[in-house]
Amino acid sequence: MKTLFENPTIPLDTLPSVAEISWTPVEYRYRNMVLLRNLFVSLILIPIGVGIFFLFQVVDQLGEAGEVYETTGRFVVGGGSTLFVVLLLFQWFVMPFLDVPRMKYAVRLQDINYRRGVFSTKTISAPYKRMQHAETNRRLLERMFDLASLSIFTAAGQAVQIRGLSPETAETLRDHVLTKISEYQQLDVENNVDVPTTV
Amino acid sequence: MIGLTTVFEQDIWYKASPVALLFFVGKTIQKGFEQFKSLVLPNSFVLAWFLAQRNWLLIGVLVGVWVALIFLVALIRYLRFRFKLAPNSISVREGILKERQLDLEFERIRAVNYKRGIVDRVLGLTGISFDTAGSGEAEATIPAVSMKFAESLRASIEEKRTQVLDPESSQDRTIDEKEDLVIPTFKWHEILRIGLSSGSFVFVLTIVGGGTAFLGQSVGAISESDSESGTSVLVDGLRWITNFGHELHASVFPDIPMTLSIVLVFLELVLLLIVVTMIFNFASAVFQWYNFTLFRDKDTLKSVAGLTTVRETRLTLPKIQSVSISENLRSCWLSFFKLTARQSHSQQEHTLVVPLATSDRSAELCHLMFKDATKGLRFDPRAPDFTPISPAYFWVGFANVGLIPGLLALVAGVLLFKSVWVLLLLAWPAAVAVVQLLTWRKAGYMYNEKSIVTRKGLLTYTLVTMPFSKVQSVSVEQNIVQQWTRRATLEIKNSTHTFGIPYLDFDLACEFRDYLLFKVEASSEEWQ
Repeated sequence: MKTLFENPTIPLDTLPSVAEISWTPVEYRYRNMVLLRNLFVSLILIPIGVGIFFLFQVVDQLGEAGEVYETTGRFVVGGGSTLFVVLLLFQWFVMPFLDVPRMKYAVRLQDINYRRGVFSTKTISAPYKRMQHAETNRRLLERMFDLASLSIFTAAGQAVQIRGLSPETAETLRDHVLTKISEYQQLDVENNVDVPTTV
Repeated sequence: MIGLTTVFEQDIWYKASPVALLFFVGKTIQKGFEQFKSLVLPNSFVLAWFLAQRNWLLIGVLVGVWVALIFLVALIRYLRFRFKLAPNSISVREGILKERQLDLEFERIRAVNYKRGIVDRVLGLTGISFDTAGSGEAEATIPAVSMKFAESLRASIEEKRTQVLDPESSQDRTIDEKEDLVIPTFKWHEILRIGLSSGSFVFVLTIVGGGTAFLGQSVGAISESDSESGTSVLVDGLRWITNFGHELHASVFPDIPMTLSIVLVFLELVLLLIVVTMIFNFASAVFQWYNFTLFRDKDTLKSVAGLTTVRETRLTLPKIQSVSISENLRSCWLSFFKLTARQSHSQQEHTLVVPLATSDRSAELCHLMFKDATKGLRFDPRAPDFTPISPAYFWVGFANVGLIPGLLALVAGVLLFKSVWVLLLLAWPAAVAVVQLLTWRKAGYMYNEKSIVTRKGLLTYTLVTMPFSKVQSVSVEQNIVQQWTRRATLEIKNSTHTFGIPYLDFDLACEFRDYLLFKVEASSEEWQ
């Protein structure tokens, strides 16, 4: 592999790596919350889907569409929609079992990391130095399951949103982030006193 | 007339002068055009069809309603518009449904611009607009006030500003402006090049398209009207143009056949249209970029440009987050770039645009803006120094968007319709392959210890550069294919752009991320 940087003072091996940190998974009951939420969604969407299906049946019988579509045609349309429904059910009721255990976060001295994803994984790293604001949210379902979510904002917008934390953890984390932010602001102010902005 | 009086009492809401009605009509037309441009232009076929149908009543009613609507909106705007003067600020209240009040404090105002139309000039009036700190866009305009009032307002704002900015040396500043020239005033040939490459040719193409449909209809109408004389003015006019062109052609080539002549007339009209558009583009470039000059005053960059309305844009160097260097097909041919420096996410405000820059000048400007953090990077997209993106990017994109959906649609199409025409669906993967290939070949990146340049584009190149000190957050993403092949997409975010480098070696991506985090966390540099 080719070397990345020619920077003699700091050998890259000595840099702390995100790959080596210990990750904390989010609360286990977050999975149940997601399942319940998806159940609600499906309870609304399934009747609509069934309704549309029967509407098509009625239209089919009223008109003479039966002769237009042949058996292969029905097979293609039926197969396609079955596949769609199966994928939807998978996404709703199987994915949470795979997805939620893989949502992990890690709080380090200088940054907060969050990773998630089953088939496609994503690891986000946000340094405290660039954070501007943090907030915790507890929506209706989250309150029912005694959960909370934490959002952290930088100048580029929302950097991380960690869902499925226990309210205590979320609040501790938020306070931790806010303290860090004010610490860095204090540092900046001190730096500015010592070194006036020059070009 | 209120607008003609010189003295305004303070803390009273004033209406604008009735002359300002013209300004509001213009503004309404402009705003309406901006909003409906995307809607009307692609529909020029429909418009042409409408015209060719010669349903004058319908067209008349539509045009009438449109004109009446514009005047109504402009009138309401005029009636709702108020402004107020206070010792240290000026307030503007406007809006039809949603009332908006803007309070501008004099010390926040960076520049006072005049905008004078012909009527204004005859009556000795002017429109004033205010540029506020850091923004190149005028936030408020007071139309049609007397020149004398405008001058006194400008003087009092100027006075207030210099007091606040530099209480001690305010007099020195007026005498000796310590500004370094960064880019000298544009010459005419430079403005010509900007004009040639500005404006959109999609516009011309749609008109040509619409014109073709119209001409087709009308030529049909001409041949019909040979038997029954006395059709509409439009067809007569067109017939006159065609005959004129034909006579002109016949005088040069006596034996020219009629059909060839008509085709020639059409081509000449298209050529005329292109030339007119070119002239229009050139004129607007002159209006916008005449006397473009870039100064540097300590850590502020200031650009001045404009023929009638002189726009002055200021950007503080440490606040610049990223610089993009882009070209279009014409500026690529004329070998120059457009450079845009951004200090926030917003598209128009808080940006400084240099409309014409060579790659050397772009490099110089970047070094200046980022305090040499970009030293060693090349700002020529055709330079071989850029690291290409892995071919996996091409193949995965092609398979996901082109091949798999194309084949599925083909199978479904064959089963459903049993027709040879279904094979036309294969054009989709082919088109996707071409687009993906072009995108893949244009993509690339280059970095040094302090900053990164990414390269992207479809037909032409766009370079975006950012110093690592401006990074807000970093993420590493892997999809299934990337997990198999041990690759990853590195995503670097700052407050203006998201820089994505797809299909990087996974270890390299992680190393890169750790390095960026180290850079942010260990350095004492502030991002703004």
